[in-house]
Amino acid sequence: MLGRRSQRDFENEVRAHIELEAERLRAQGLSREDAERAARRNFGNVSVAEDRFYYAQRFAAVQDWLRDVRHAWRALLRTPGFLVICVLTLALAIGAVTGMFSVVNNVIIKPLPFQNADRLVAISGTAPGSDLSERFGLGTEFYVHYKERSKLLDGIFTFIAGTSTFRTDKRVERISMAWPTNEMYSTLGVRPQLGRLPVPEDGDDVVLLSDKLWSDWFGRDPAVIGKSFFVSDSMKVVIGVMPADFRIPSENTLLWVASPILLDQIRPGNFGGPLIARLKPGVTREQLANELTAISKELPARFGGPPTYARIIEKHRALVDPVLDRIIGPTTRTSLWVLLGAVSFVLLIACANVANLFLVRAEGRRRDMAIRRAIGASRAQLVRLQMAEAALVALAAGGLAILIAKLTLPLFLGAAPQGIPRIGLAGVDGWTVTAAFALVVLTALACGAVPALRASAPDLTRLREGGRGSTGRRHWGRDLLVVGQTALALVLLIGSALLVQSFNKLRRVDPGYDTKDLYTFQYAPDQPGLGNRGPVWGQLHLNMMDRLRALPGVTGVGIVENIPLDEGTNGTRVRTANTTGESEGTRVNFTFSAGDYFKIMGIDMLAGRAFTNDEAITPNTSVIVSRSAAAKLWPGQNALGQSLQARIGRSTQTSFTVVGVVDDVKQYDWRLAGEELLYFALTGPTDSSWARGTPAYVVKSSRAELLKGEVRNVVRQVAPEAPVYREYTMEFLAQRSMVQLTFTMLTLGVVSGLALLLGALGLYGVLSYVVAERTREIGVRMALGATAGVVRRQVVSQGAKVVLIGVTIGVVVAVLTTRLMSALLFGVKPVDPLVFGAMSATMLVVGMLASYVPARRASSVDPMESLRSD
Amino acid sequence: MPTRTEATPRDALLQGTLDLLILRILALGSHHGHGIAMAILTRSGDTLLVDHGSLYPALQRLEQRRWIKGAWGTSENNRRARFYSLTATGHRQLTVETGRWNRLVESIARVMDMGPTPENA
Repeated sequence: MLGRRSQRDFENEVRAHIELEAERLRAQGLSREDAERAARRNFGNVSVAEDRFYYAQRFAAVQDWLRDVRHAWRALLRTPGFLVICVLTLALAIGAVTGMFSVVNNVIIKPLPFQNADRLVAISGTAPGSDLSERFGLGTEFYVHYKERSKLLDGIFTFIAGTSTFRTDKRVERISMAWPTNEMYSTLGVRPQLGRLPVPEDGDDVVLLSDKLWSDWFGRDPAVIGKSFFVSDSMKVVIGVMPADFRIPSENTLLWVASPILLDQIRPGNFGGPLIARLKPGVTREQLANELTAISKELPARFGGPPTYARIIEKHRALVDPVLDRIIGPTTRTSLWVLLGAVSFVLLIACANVANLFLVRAEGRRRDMAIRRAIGASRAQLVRLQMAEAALVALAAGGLAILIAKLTLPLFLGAAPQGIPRIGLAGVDGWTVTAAFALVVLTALACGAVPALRASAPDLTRLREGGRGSTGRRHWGRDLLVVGQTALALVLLIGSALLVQSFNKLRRVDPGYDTKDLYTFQYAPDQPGLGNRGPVWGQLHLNMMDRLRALPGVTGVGIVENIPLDEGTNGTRVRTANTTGESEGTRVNFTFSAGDYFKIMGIDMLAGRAFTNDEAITPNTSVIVSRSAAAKLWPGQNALGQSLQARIGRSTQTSFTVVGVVDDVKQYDWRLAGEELLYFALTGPTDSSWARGTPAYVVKSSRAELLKGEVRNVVRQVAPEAPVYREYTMEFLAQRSMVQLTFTMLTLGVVSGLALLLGALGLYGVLSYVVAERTREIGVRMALGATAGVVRRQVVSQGAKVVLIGVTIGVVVAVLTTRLMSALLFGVKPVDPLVFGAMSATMLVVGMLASYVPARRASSVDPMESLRSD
Repeated sequence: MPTRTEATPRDALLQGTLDLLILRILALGSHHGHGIAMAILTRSGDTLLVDHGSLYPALQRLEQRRWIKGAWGTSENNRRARFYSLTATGHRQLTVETGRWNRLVESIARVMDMGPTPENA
């Protein structure tokens, strides 16, 4: 490799030359002075030579390349319309892909911000053949046993997450918090930014603050360490502050309460808890699953438990998954991948369009290229020139795309469903820019390669033809692009139609309750003196309901422990006369209710009666069962008046009498069947039978959206310090429960609309060009007697043929791909003949329309005009 | 038949010729720039005077094409100067260029020999 010469080196060479010349002239007899002057004169202008050297040297390597870019740029500027359309089309598509990539990368791909995050796993269980769900969380006994017995783990922890009251001197609020076991910190490998981690001696008396809570409530004052505050109902000491990026178990967790598991508190069979563990280096998930399955068989022997428990453990197998898989639910995961796939399709379509435009453009320059070839330009040079144009367009589009992504990503994130972990991190970062640049390179290749190769191999006959043929040749390249576009656009159309169909089906589901004119909220009266024993507690809520009923426009008020669409219910086992042998009974869920709950929620009373106000404050054994609970517990029998035995809260096994049967409600997901649910009254069989949470109030009023302030006032009168929270209209909750679907549906709708438009434009462009090229041929035909109709039909059928092939391929691709989105679908099969048929027809119609305009133009060709034009 | 443009062919011809001459001179052995100019002058029987100013860009161009390479050395009268010599590629290029040149000369000669020179040419 030759090194680059320095300027000084060249100057030395020139000086040497002049001296040699002067010497020669002196030898011929000139005086020293004359010789030197003549030598300089002979050489010419030294500084011009030096300048020439400088430029030639500096740009030698990039000179050819730069010249190509300059030529390409000038050529592009000569056709500004072409330039703008290409850049805009690509910028939109690249921008969309870049933005979506950023979201997917941050939510799904990027490892969690822990050391060796790939070794973090979530452990759950399955027990085929039992009455537990297909995958269930584990109890604390699993945590204790795994921790002690597993040899493949580098730490394991469990936690409870929820909301509770946090109280300082100045402020009291219901906030999100978690109750993890102390190993959470060591298993994840995190340290507090301030203070220390909990140790066993701390018991459950200490808390760690999140960075956000520390900022918002304490102004980042380090003196907060060591102070005590009310958490739920007891004082806890703050011992540390976690770093800002520590957001476990959820994005909005503000406080961690040390919560060691005490062996004597373990009651085996309470499934449902999360277990997170760290694998030892080199251990696979499968190895761990096998080991845990084996050692869990020892559980009944160690912790006892009822016979049902032993039977479940017999069937139990441990499931070990990457922790990220469990944090991001399947619907979120599917939505994001579907959307990334969709925008990638749009990019492909955009590339096809731009490649098409380049082809048409190259077609128009064939004569130009042929001349260049003829006078000696090499093929490589012509390819390079064409590629330079594509590269420039792609590069400009890439720059614009990053800008577009930067501007639109916040809008997209604002519309995205709440609570997707880490989605807030999505933005135009290094990864995103890298991805955009990679796309630019691919795009340039995709858009430039075919036209470049075609144009650089011009047949010299073009020169003889004078640049205009009288017959159009088939352009397989362009047809192929249109086929691809049509296929891709159809796949997107079908995908979004499936989502629309799912949404319609889901909207029409009867959840068992109304969502109109209903307002719900909770408040936490857990301050000293308000009491939490049955009758006192019940009276508190009766009084509150009375006050709320007095508000203008309120027609009814009710209470339920777990409001549908916002909270899940707890499970228990009940025995009835139908329960045989030593069985622990049938699994059903339960909740508490009072007031006009069933009436105002529109939950049908199928038999019997609702709870009376007396039952809210007087010990009683009444229970109301849902239709499917009745069918499960007393199949084929009348449930009313039947008795069931259950152990709820702190009560012992107690017998309850069914006083009413209500219709099922869909507790959370409208896709699922209604729940088998028991409703108990606010006061149980004795004064202190069960410990209570904070129930949800439901207020019926046509002014549901406007009640917030008035309700808060009422609460303040009764319990001045009680925080009010979870304030929603039921309509909002209903929308929120579907936001994943609606969001994906709307985004995909926009994207597929764009794809359809681009596809149609592509077809239109190709046919227009074909018509323009065949003007003369069409003229000849018409001069020979072809009617306008015949010419139109011919052009349209040419378009139709291409579209039909595209539709066929699109249908095949859709059949293969739509099942990837089945997690988002409801009430519609991934291969729904109606949707497939309707969308294929739409595509064909759009194709026909796109062909019709050029066809009309073709049929209006004036034969004389076109024959004369050559 | 389109008319031929006047300027470019002559320019290109001259430039090509200078490159060829340099390569030919260097085929005899390495030379510094001044020496090349002198050699062209003497071997052409003092008729071809190389413009010293355009000699160096030509040398630079040939060097960038890796046909020749330069290195500092000492001249016959003990002066430091940059000496150029042919590379392997340069040798091959000289063969190509020589062949092309000979063909060109032949072709032109054939055209010129067609018949009597017109009166008003």
